[in-house]
Amino acid sequence: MLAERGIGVTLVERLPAPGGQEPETDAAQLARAASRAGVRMMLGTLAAEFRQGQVHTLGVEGAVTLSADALVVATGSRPQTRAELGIAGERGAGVMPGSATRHLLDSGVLLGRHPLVIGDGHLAEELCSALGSAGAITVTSVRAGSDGVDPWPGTNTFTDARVLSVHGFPRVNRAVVSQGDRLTHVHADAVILAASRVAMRNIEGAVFGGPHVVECFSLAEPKTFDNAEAAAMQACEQTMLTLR
Amino acid sequence: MQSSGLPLVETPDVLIVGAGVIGTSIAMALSHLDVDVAVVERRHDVGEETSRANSGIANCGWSLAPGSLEAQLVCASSPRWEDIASRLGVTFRRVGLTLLAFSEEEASGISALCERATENGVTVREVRGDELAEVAPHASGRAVAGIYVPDEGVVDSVRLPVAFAELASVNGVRFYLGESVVSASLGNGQVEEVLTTKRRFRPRFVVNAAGLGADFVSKSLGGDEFSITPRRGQWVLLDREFGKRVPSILTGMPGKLGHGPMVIPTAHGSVLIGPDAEDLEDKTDKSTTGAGLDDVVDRCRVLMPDIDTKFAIKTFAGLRPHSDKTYRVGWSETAGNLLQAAGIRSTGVSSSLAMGDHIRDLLVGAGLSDRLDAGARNDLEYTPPLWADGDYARVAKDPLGRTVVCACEKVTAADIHQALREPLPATSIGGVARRTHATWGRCQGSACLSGVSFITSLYTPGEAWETPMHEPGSTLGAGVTTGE
Ligand SMILES: Cc1cc2nc3c(=O)[nH]c(=O)nc-3n(C[C@H](O)[C@H](O)[C@H](O)COP(=O)(O)OP(=O)(O)OC[C@H]3O[C@@H](n4cnc5c(N)ncnc54)[C@H](O)[C@@H]3O)c2cc1C
Repeated sequence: MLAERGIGVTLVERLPAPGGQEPETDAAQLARAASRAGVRMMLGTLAAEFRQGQVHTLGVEGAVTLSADALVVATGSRPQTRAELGIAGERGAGVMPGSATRHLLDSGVLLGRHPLVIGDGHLAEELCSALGSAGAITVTSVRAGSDGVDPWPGTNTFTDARVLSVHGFPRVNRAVVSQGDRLTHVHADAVILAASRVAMRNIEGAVFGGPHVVECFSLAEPKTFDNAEAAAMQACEQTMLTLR
Repeated sequence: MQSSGLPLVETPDVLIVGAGVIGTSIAMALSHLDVDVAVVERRHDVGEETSRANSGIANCGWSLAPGSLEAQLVCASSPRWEDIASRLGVTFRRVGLTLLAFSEEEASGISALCERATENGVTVREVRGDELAEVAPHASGRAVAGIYVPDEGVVDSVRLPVAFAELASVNGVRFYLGESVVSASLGNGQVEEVLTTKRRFRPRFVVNAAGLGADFVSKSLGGDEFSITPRRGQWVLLDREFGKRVPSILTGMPGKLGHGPMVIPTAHGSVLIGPDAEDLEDKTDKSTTGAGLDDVVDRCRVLMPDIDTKFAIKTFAGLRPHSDKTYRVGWSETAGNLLQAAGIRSTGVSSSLAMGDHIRDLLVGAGLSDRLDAGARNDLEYTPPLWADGDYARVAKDPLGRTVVCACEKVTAADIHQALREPLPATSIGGVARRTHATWGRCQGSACLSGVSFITSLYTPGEAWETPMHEPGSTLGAGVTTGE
């Protein structure tokens, strides 16, 4: 969108191909359109730091510093961390970020035979189902949403609930789930953190925004192309304002 | 005693029990002598207990009891940090500390503390008004007075025991990890044989640096009877981005259990708020509690009202080895060749440099050879990670340095391979994290855990799901996937 408006754009992407951690079906088509519009692609490259109009990158081309009038941060999203969810307790193995869980399942690692998945959204739903088909015996789903949500098939579901603490060392074996005043001790040999998506921020100097930084995160559920496109259009307008 | 079946492989001059910051600093100091040294550690890696969860303050000794061994060793270590840090590739920053008083009544204690600092040979000064705001621009405006301690520093205390152990290992010290001391036999008032879960040692001298386990080790070796109780401290770790607002350490007036929670910039720019102090019974209880963490945040907000928990990355806890007498350091009264280096509750990182030398001198005084090992090294070959110096061009020279695996902490594939190949290599995902900070950043492994575990699995035995997170049994997964 920016290139089509005559702006010189460099796209820096950590992964070797465009499309993100979970490539959208039309990613390749969009990337071709961007190239045609004159976007310079730096794939396999991390934008590490943004200071005083300079973007420090590290990647296949080595250490390259780019000058930029605006930095558009479209680094995707991740599930909330343990600290963000306020989960106390022991630090045994088996407490996993949901996004890593997906990759590990893809590489044949079954995270737990009795996993507990925290989250209400698409990622949590998908992981509950994937864990079930990958060999988990019981899958517990802990959802913050209110009563009346349909439990996902094959899961033992807690609604209006949160995990207060996890226990067990060297591996987790129990989680304490609260529903209002009620506490339930759930046997769990893995606790998968797949709750509400938050922005993935890892560019030093731009982690919490700042002048010349335009954030482009689409965090709404469900994750759809339309939502992503709307966020991109908004970021494009903001970038044009920043450049003015 | 169940000695049968255990091989006798070792007759070292010195056997060190415990590879925390104290045991490893002693190992490093002894590694410069032409003597044979072995270290036994029950955990899978060095520095896995108290020495991995502390505030990382390299105290300059200003507030310690003058004349105490603790004050002597901390004060003697303080000026050495810049030199050792550069030789071992450990990040250190002399950030300074400001103690804050919030009423004139509290401030009345300032002059006594300043006198104490002077007795310890540390320069400090009372600050008020504009000067207080200048040395601690981030401190609460409600503070009426303070003490400024320019020499206080912060060190990467997570890497420190690894670096000590690596230099010791390069110089020939043998480390037996994942092996507990369980019993011993005595003869003529001396420890003759030490049994671990895997082998027997017949050492000439034994050093008990077993931290929380030092009471059990002392008793098992026929040494003095004392008890070590765990004193838990909890922290919240805040993002480096918040760290820009925290140039130096803030603390309050000391209470019964020490200084209370502090606001501490870490060696690599993030911020720790904590720790509290709570005596427990269970030496393994490193759990955090919601109430404890809330209390830490509230108390630190008194020091720095701007603390914003939206920057929180992680919460964790550590256990101080508290004994009725702190710094139980010296020869055992009941077992002649047993040297205690125990009960080092709150300043073990700060005293570690001089502690190694102190124990070495006691051993030499008892007859250990003081001949130097001519071939011993003083430094480590170590490539620092990008976050240590921000030198992109340096990192990019290595092709593996161009692949950033952990984007939050900017850890490259080269850093991870180095951690798995070092003289004392990481043997778990946690070991890699401790050596590189991979998975320890803002997203807590969300984007990189699979990559880090994959590289680690190339170096560890077993299938991918068996890759250890830390101790034996802490497997990454529970098995292999089945089905479609
Ligand atoms: C909350 C908190 C904050 C702190 N902040 C600071 C600070 O800012 N600055 C500072 O200087 N200090 C600080 N400290 C104190 C510091 O961490 C300790 O003094 C230091 O880590 C003690 O080191 P150690 O080697 O004696 O113990 P440890 O690190 O516990 O090492 C002892 C080792 O012995 C091993 N062991 C035990 N029993 C056996 C056995 N039977 N066989 C084999 N191995 C055994 C253990 O596994 C362990 O690895 C803090 C501590 C805590 C908990």
